[in-house]
Amino acid sequence: MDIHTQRISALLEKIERENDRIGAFIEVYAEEAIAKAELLDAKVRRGGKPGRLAGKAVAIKNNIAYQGKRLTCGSKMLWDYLAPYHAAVVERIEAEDGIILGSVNLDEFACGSDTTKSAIMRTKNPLDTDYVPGGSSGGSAASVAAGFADISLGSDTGGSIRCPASFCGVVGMKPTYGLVSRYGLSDMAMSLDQIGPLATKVADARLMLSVIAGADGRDQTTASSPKNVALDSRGKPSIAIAKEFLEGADPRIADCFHSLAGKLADRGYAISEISIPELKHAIPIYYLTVFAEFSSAMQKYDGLRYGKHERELENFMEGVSELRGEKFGLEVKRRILLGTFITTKEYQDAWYGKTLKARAVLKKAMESALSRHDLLLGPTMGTLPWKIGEKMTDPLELYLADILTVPANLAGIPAGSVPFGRIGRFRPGMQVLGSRFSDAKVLALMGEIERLDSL
Amino acid sequence: MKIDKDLVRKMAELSRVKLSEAEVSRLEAEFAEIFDYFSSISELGSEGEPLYYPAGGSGGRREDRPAKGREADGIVAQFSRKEGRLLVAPKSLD
Repeated sequence: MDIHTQRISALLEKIERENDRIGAFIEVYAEEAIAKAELLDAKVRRGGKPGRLAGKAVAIKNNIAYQGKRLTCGSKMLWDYLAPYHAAVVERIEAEDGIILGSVNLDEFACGSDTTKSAIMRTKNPLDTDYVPGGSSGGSAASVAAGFADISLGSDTGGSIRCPASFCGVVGMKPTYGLVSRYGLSDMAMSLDQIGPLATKVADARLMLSVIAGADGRDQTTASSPKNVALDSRGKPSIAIAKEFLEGADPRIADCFHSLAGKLADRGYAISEISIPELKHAIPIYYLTVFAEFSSAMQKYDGLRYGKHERELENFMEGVSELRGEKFGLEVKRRILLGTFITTKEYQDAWYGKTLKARAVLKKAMESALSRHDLLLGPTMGTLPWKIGEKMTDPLELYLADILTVPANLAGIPAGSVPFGRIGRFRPGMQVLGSRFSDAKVLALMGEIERLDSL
Repeated sequence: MKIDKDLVRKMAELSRVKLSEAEVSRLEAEFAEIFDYFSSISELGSEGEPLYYPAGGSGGRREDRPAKGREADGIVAQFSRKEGRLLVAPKSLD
C-alpha cells in the first residue's frame, strides 16, 4: 500500500473504533475514500502532479450534497434522501485530490448552536465528552478535534462554523458572503449562509479556502473576481476592539482576550478601543431575518419530494401539515411559525420590513468601523461549552449566545475563530473580522494569534 | 404584542405544521418572550432602504444559452409516487 492509501485506511480504522464515543460521522464513505486514495497514489507513481489538497482527509457537514449519499440535514424529514448531485465545493475538493471521508452531524437544518437538535445522533465535544461540541457544525468541529480528518467543511449562517470551532478548540473560518459557491448546500437562510473550513491549523483552513473559493455560474451571489483571497497580506494591520464584544463575556474568556490584546500590542500592532452601539440589535435583526428566509426555504418539504414518505395524502393540506408536524423537530417548527407570521401581509411591515432596514443600518455601522481600522477583534463566544442537557429549555437564552458571531453574517464580511489560551480543558476562540473580501488579511492575523498561542 | 393560543394555532395553520396541544402551550409562552425582546428592533428607525442581500455589486449573470442539467434524474428517482417522470400529487382543490 502506498502512502495516501495507507494513511486514509488508518484514519478510517480510527473512525471505526472511536466514532461511537464522539458521534461525529453520520456516514463514512469508506469505499470511495480508499478508491480516491489509490488513484492518487497511482498518479504519484506515474509522476503526475498531485493536487493542492493531495491526501488531505476531509469531512463534510451533512447539509452539503455528495452525489448518491444520504443528505439528512440532521432531520427525520430527509432520513433516506440521497443527494442527486455533488455540491460545487465537493467537485473542487476532489479536483484537487482532497479525500472526502464522509458526512458529519449537525443541528436539524443547521438550526442550533450545540448540535443537540440533530434528529440523527448526539455529538460530543472531544475535549470533554460530557460537553456539547457547539453548533450547528458540531460534527465538523468534532471530526477535526478528534483527529478523524485534517479539514472539515461546515456552513455558517450566524456562527455555525465559529461557535463549534471555539468550543472544540479548533480553527474555523466563515468566508465573505459570495466567496464560496452555495450550489449543493441545503439552505437555511440564503442571504446569510456561507460554506467554510474548520481545521486544527490556520494553514489548512487557508489552503481549503483557496480551493473552494471562486465564482460559480450556479450560485449567482458568488463574486466574479474575488480579490486577495489566496494572497498573503503584508504589513501589520490596525486592529479595533469594539467594547460591546466583551459585554457579558465570561470573565475567564475576557482574561484570555486581554492577554492576547496585550501580546499583540507588545509586538507593535496598533490597537484601538471603539464602540458600535448598533451591535445590541444584532440578535433581533439576525433571528427575524433567519425566521423569514428559513420558513420560505422549508416550504419545499411537502412529503411528495425530498425523501420517500409512504403515506396517502388524500387531503393534501392536512396530510402535509401532519407529516411536517411529525418529522420536524421543535426548533425547526418554532422558526417556521415565526417566519411565516412575520412575513404575512398584516405583519410584514411591523416586523420583516423593519428588520431589512435595521440590517442596512447595522451593516453600515460595521463597514464604517472597518473603514477606519483594518480588522476587528474580540472573543468568538461569550461562554464556554455547556454540558449536554443544559440550556435545552429556553430558546431565547440560546439565541442570545450568538451575539458575537451574527454581525459578520448580517454584514456579509469574513470572520474567523482561532483558539487562544486555556481554561481547564477548553481553548476559547478569538474572532477576527475584516471588510468584504479581506479574507486573506483575516487569516493572516489568525495565523499570528496561533503563533502567539504556541509561545 | 399579544400572543395567545389561537394566534399560535393560526400561525401553525399558515405554516402547514400540525402541533400538539402541549406544543401550542409551550410556544405561546416562548413566542411572547421572543416578540417582547425582539421589539427593540423599532429603535433603529424605519427610514432608509431595506437590505435583502449583503452582496451588492457581485452576482453577474450567466450567458443565456441552453445547457444540459444532470440533476433531474436523481431527483425524479426519489419521488414518493410518480408516473413516468411526473410527480403524482393529490388533489389540492375541491
